[in-house]
Amino acid sequence: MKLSLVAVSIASLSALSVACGNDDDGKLRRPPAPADLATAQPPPAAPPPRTMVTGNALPTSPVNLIADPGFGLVGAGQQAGFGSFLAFDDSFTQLTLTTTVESRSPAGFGGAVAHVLADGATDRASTPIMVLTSFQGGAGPFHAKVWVSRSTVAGAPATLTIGAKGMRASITDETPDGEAFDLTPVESATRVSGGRTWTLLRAEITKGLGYGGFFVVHTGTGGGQFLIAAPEIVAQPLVDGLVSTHSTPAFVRTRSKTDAERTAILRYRSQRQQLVPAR
Amino acid sequence: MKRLGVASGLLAALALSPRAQARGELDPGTNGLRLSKDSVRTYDFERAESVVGLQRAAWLKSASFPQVERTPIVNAADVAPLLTGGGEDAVEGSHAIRLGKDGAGLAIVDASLFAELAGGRFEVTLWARADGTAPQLSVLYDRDPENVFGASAQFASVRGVRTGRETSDGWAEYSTGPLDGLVWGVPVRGIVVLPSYYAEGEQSFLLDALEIRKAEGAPVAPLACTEQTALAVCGADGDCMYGHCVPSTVTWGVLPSLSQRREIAERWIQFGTRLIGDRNASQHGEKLLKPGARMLAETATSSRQFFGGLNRLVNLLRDNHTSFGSPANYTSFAPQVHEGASSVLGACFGVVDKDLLGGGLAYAVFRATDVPATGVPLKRGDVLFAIDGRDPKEWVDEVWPQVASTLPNDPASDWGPSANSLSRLITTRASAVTFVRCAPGTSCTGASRTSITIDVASAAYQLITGGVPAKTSPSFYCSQRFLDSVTVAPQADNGEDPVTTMPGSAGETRVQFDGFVGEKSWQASMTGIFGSGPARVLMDARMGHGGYYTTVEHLFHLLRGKSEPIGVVSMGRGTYDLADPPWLLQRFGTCSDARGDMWSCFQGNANGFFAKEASPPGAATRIAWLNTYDVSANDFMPRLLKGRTGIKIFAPHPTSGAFGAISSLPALWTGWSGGSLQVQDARFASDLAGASSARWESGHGVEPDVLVVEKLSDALAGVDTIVEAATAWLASGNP
Repeated sequence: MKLSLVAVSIASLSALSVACGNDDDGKLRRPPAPADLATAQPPPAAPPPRTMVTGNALPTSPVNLIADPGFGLVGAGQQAGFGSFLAFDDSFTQLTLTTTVESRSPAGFGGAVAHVLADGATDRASTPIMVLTSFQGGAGPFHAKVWVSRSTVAGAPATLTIGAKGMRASITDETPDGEAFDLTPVESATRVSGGRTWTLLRAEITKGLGYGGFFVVHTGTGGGQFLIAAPEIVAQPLVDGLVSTHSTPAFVRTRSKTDAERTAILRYRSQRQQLVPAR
Repeated sequence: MKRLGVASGLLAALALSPRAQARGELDPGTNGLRLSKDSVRTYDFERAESVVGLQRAAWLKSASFPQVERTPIVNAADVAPLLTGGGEDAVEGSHAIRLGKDGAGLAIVDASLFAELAGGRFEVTLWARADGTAPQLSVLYDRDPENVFGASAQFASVRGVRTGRETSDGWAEYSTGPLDGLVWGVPVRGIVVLPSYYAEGEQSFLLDALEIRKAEGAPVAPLACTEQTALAVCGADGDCMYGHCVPSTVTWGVLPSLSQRREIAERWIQFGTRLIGDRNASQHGEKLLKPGARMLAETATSSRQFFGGLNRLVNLLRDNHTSFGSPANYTSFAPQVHEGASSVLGACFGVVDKDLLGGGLAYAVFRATDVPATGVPLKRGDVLFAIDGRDPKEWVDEVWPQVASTLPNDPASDWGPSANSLSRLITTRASAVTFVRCAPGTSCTGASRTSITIDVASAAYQLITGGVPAKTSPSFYCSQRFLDSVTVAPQADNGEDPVTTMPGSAGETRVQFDGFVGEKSWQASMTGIFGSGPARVLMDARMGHGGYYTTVEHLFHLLRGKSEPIGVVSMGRGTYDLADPPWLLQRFGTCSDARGDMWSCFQGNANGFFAKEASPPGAATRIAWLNTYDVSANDFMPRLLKGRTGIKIFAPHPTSGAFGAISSLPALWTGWSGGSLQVQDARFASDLAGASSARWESGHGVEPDVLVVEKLSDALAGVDTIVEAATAWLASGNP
């Protein structure tokens, strides 16, 4: 049975007072050796000051071009649709993502966090996974962002590196020979909540994406499970129609698509189209 | 709302301030909430003893609909391990309670508490933090004190929603808003806080500061009302169902905050104008949805106005693949009409030409039971003359868009789908209906014509508040087939749409099927029918609910080939800001017959096919294709066959006109299912070059070659007019 921190504190204080109290002959007893106090917990650190904030209904902007940024269509029993996120391992076998609602994550209550756990992953090694979705193109510029974090296989927060062992995110246009734009960390935006560190990856794409593209998150070989929250790609003309947002320009590096990205996108298209009415 | 003078306004504000502080406020001194002292009941979870007397509730995943298993909490020791240690794990005081593991939550089942609340209004609020799953707060009403998410459908229920008040460390306030202590005389039986039904294993949430407090305002009295008088009689907070006022929290749910409404509205504007593939619907989105949704967000004062209004605006996109979604309301107060059933009238309707009553289209009874809940049995052929004193079609045109889950693309197609939903629509939203009954075999004049008026609201209200009468006939699903053309029972359910066949009276093969859901078995059935090149086939597709693209293509290649070529190219919209950029056809046209090979085809949602067979086995088969309530794949198929030699389409009106694939949308709000969206549109032409100048087809249902409606005189004689006309044509040999 787990004692509450307050109860443990009282217990430890009691232990100290007994240890330092007078015995019946008036002599002070020696305090117990430190090992005897090994089970006593230090009083909990005071939590940082809370403030009241206004919660959002949605996990991202209403003009997000990603249809399912809250991963509502992901997981067993859900029906994938246009713009659903799909995941593939390095043999391009489709995986089922799991999701949880973590209100301390950047998605808040408005959407779920996607968990990417490769088959056979340990805390030190994992096979790469690619998670992707398509989005509608049009006039730019575009602002892309996503929050990422990492856990041990058991789910405890763990350190995340941005790179081949950890996570990367990119926007690819829809042509095989076209460009990919990597999202880069915004160090100043890093959030720590509930012992978990969330890293913001961001990119600003100054050109239009006339034929649309794919939002791709790569998880790496460093082990553990990887968390994705609040993916977003918005076009500035659409944002201008809402309350203006403050966007921090970030570096954008373009590169060619990898073979893995090409193949995953080909696999992504194998969704059976349904011609059935709405219910 | 009257405007107060400045002075009196200040006084009013001062007088209100105790109530303004009634909800928990953040106290910087304690870094937590300070709860109000005027709650009727507060659960702060500071001590395990305070939870004794409540019940532990857990979802029963084996049940066919949401049910919980409840266990009284008798020992504080049983729940003490669930209390947290404070700090950030509590938002009020030093402790919260962790719930959710293994689907477990809490239930407050306190008859004396609910009796205290019965005479007025009350509100339930709580604070929660999601650590894997979010909480579901539900207030449940029932006649049976034991039915708290039990084996019977709940009488009424309300889901609490986030208010928008949250803390910087992940706690959110949930509230039901003001609720009536009684709904149509039925009390609250339980307040339940559970994890999401879909939560797994260790997923949990923290619960703190649960308060039940009295709320201002008078309950909504169950006054008699109609859809037209709902606002005036029931008030802004009310809805009108079964001819009586009911709080709209019980029907459409709790009204979100202004900022939340703005987000939801803007998200639907994004779906309905920038992502939707139906070009016609996209234009309706710009004209109707965009301004209408923004206005609703700003001005709605009830969930009926906001959610009912948004549901109506999404329906007015006129796309049968696009839907707003539904509240998780499994009670009699579910506000939308989904599938058609015989309901309290004990009858289902179809479309007739009232030839004995001056002609013109009308709704008439196709099938009726002997012992309906109204106590007034209807008969096949009874013509609906008025709904709440109004022309039935006019009443349907006004009421149906607000409560339908989706509408046909082509308004000319409305008759059949609305007829199918009409009995349930009348039961839930009308007060009184009048029928004209013609004696069979007469000219329906003088004494051979009678008028029947039924007080539907009284019957429905009594049924809901008093239970099912001792003897009523079972309800049944509606169909737009006056008679089945194939009376052979379908084969065992294999998950595919059954295809049944039998010989017809004129030597034709009769085929009856409801859609294109299927692969092996369905395709094998059609190959078996047409593979031998039969002379005459009647295809009864009058209840066509759509299906798979590949299945449509399979049947197409059996029936039409290169000698009379046609094909289809389907594609998504070009960009978010331009549905049809100049490059669209050039880029995506080649996706027809080559889909799967190119990235751009997938990204552009593009596919299609053209006739490719030199001698399809059914190319010379004379086919009478019957339509009435047809959508999606059941739009594509007749569109592809129309105009082929030896094929005629028989129907009372066009099909829906939904030419594109459907995609699910995620849920946008607490307690709502996600809707859906059509992500393509289609062009039909004999070849790809022709497709570049063809129109986008969505919004244009497939017109019949032979406009034929069930005649009232035939209905009274038990004759299926459409089948008779089709059979006669098949036998005639006429072109």
